[in-house]
Amino acid sequence: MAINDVYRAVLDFEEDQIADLIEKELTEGVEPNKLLQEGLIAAMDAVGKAFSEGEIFVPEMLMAAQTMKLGLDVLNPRLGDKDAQSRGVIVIGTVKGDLHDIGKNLVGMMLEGGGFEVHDLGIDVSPEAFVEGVKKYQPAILGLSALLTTTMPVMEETVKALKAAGLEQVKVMIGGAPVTRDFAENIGADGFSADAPAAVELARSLSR
Amino acid sequence: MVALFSYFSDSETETMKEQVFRLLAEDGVKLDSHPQLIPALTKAGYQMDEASGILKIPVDRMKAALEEAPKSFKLGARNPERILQLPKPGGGFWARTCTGGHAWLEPDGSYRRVTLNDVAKWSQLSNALDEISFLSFLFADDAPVYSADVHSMVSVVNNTDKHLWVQPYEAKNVDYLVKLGEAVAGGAAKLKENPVISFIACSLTPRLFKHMDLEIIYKSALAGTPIQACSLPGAGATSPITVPGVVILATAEILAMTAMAQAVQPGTPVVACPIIFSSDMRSGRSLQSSAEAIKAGSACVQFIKKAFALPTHNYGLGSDAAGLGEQNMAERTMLLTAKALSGQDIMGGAGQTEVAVCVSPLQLIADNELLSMARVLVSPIELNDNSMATAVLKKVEPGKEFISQSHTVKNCRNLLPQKNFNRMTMTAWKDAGEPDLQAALRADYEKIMAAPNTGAASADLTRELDEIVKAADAALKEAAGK
Repeated sequence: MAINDVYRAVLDFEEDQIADLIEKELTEGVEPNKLLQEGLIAAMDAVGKAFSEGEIFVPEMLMAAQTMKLGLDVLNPRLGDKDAQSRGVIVIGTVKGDLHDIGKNLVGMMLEGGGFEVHDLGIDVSPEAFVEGVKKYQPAILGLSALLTTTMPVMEETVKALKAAGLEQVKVMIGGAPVTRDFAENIGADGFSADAPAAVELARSLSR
Repeated sequence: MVALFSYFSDSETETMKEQVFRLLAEDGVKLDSHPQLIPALTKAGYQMDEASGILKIPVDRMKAALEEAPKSFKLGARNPERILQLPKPGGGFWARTCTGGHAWLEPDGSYRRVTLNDVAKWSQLSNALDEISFLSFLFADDAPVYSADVHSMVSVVNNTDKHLWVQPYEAKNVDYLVKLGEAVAGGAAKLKENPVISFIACSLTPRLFKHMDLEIIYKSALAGTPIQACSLPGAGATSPITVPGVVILATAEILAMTAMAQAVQPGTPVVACPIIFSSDMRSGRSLQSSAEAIKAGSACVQFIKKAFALPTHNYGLGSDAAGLGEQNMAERTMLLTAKALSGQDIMGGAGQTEVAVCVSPLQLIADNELLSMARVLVSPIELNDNSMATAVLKKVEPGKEFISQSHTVKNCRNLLPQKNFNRMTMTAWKDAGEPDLQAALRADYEKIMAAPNTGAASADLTRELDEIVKAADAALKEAAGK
């Protein structure tokens, strides 16, 4: 029932209450990882499903993700090493020449909501900077975003740069308004997702 | 509703108005005989030449009749929540289904004559669609020919609690149609209080009125039901081919019906219906959704509202195309947009194609969605702190975003949700099996028709309606010599 309050707080965008609710549960002895899995992550899975079914809208999904993030900020220091290690690491960024970050940010928040540890390199990220980021954070997955058709070729350059750096074990997923599955296949990316909840599912399948 | 664009300036409107008044006063209209209506006109002071049948309407008399015709009134309904006020409060329009269509395009694509069972299904569907404000009936091929309108009307009222636009097929049938309306309303007095039906009366353009339509005007005015006065000119065939010419003629015929209704019963509500067609000069076909027909219809609606302040009703949907393809959707979208921006109060023709000959349940569902888009298009824009986004404009820094702001969350559900139109990317659409609009509409149709009909008539009302039908069949069959 108590975890359900945390779950409901995410679904109801209770940004002002989520931290107190988690503190209360922790004080009462609820395992942090249980709160994470059955409260925050389960709630964001429900949010993703509701979005995919057209029941909630993008701004509402963002509000839920922001609420989840506030909860995660409280929870993160309490998670043990084992819990932290179990979370997949993902590096994301918008490719060079592209300054758009709404979609990328949304994907980042949903990935965090999905239980991943996300490192956001920001916007206008060069292939070289992506390679450096991968070396630094050691992710299983690299997520590339582009809104402009003119910056899509940088995605291919980034995939090549990773291989050139000997980092081909890192899976690459791409997304953005003009990006298609065919394009992903053509440039050698490992996956494409059409929206943020689908990105979470894709990341889960790529990290298996 | 206010027009958001206008063809005629104030001075042009006055010039046109003078032409309408001149036509009625100097040339008049011709009436078939009618033993009650014509004496009523004479008594009311109109110049009626009984030998020629020409009724001339002096300008001052016409102006007086227009003064008597209410500018605001209601179209009643069995369900009080579905009573329609004209003009629509807050702006915008109402919408009604096709009237008189006799061909039926099944969801599976087959094409055949309309049956009474189709009318029942059509009514159930129309009752469930929230943008469809009221119904009319179709021409059922399996009803007795002498009482087809009576049977069709019963099929409608058994399946809807919305207002019904009644189109009689014979003068002798009008009394039975009024009786059906009285049964739905709960009696003759109740029908006056809550006019659950309104009647279509038409001119036979140019400037001729048949006995049946005079009977409709007379009986409808006595019953207290609104009259939807229709002029259906075919520009270039039964009317001048030019836009001002056809507008003047259509308006004059509608005003003549307005005068007749006021002569029978001052205060009778009249809706002006200038249903203007253009003529395809290559084939002779009448067209409802050609550029010329849309322009003339829009111009006439604008003119009547501005010059005479009568509520207006005209095609707002429909197409000249056979089938539900691209031409059909393009034509009806242009038609609806022009009429909505013209301030038309009622959008007629939902669900119809092939110049109102054919109806399609799938098209009706698509029209419901188009109507919702047009409703948003013409809705007024309010200025307040929320709509002008005063606080959030100050809050969001240059280069940042609004999508995660509480202002966006608070207002995002005010946007119109699309039900069957899809906005998928090519990839997503292919992943979904390339569903087309027809497939989405078919699924929606099945879902709607599987749900209980909340507008179904009670068993008592159905029994009462059946008794009227039996009496009508017996009397009308005999009158028809069958």
